[in-house]
Amino acid sequence: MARILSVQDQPLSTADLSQSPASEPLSMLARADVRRTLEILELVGSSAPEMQKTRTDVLRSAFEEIPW
Amino acid sequence: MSTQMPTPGPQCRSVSSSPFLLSNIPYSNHAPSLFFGLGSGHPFANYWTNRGGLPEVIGVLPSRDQADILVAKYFDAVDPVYPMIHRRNFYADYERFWSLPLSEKQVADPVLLALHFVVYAMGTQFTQMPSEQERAQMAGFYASASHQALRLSSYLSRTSLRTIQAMVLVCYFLMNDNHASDAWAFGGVLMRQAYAMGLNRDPDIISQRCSRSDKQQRRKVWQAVLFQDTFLTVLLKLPPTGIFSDVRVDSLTDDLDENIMNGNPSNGAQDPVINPMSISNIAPMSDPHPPHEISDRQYIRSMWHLANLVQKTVCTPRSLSNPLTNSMPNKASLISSYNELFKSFPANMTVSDHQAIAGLSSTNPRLLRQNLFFRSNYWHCVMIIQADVNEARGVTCDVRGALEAARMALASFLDFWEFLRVDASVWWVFQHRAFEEAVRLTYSILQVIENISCNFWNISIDSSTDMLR
Repeated sequence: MARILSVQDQPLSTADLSQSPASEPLSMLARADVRRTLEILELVGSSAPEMQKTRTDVLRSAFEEIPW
Repeated sequence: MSTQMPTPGPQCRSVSSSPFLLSNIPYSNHAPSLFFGLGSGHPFANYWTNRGGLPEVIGVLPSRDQADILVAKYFDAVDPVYPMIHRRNFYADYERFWSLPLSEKQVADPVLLALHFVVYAMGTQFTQMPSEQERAQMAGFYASASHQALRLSSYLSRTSLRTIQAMVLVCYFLMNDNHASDAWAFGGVLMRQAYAMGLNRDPDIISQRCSRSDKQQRRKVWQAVLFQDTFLTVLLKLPPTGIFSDVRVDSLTDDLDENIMNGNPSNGAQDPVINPMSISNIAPMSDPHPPHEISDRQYIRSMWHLANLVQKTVCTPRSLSNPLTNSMPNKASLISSYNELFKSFPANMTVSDHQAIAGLSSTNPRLLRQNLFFRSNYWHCVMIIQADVNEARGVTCDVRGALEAARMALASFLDFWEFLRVDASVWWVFQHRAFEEAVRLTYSILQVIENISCNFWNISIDSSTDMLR
């Protein structure tokens, strides 16, 4: 977490990526938050299916970019 | 490891630009445009005839039992987060109305009916029903009746505090009913009417003859109008409207003696507006306020301070596609301002640890709702500032700050879902903030991975562009 959080102190570099971000607690927590939010957004708003689909499609496609 | 960021549409490339701005619509396009991609039809179904008048509206009232349930639901779910209706006075008017014979109901104040019906509509939105479609239809029906009552009151040329209250609720109803475009337009009329009746002015200056109670009520309703305008503007990235006011936040004091009136002016204050038919005279009560009045006022002031800061530092620059900060020290200073404001708020408004939130859910759900709405709005705006980029002035995205703020904001939504699930499934503003925060979080993770450029606005624009499609 500290390493990820320190990225602003120095340019984001490939050195930071030598380990999978999956091993970083903050990344893991953030990813879990997103996944949970996606699950909830898939449940709400069914009376406006287009809105629901747009939101979840956008979020899911972004989420799927996370390679771990 | 290879990842690809979605590419924003060419029309939405500019940093901080809003795809919703009218200036983004090609001038050659004379066809009406759907601004937000939401709610393509007029939101208020027309069940009404030309000559039906108020009796037609009265004719679709729910049963008294049903109305009681819906009003109770309104005060349970909506009033905590937008506490602008004086509960005792509302119930007094409500009881009086329902006690009238039909012939007298039919000549009642149409604005009273407008307020009652929109309360029924919102109460319905928060009532669990077997079918979500049925719930939406029922709520929409009551909202239509409210709008018809507003029309019968000539609300575009005549307004009152009650009219403004009804219109604020109609706006929230529209948002929750996935009519954000209509809410934006209706909110514009609402703000004009609020200005027209001087609600934005210090009541000590322009309403000196009002009772202290009425002055406090005006302040609460102005705060509700300002708050709605500010935070809808945050989501839609359009210009704020409620920018002219001299009502001081701290003029909404904790002094609860204001209702000692009607011939009994305390501390020497003259109160020339004495209505012998007022509820204070008809049914004097020793305690005219609910037990949560003081904490409600703390909440109102907190949100008011926050709205003032957000309007100036987020809404206004974003509405002209300007960056929020012009140097890294400036960004640090702005974040410091938010931190200072945060520290000034009551602890139970800002607490976020799970045990405390769980405790509030069982001991004080009203305060929990206020806590969640405050945290969601506050951290969402901090996230926006942390993600701000001004390349020309060397301002970069603070990935760490944005990620942390997004997580804090999202935590309020996850708490909402855990402890007040029905409410969480209804509030459009909360859901949409959560959506944007989750997208921000995702891209923050990807930034760490890919060392990609940080541009939150493009992310938002991606989403919004999809919605436009």
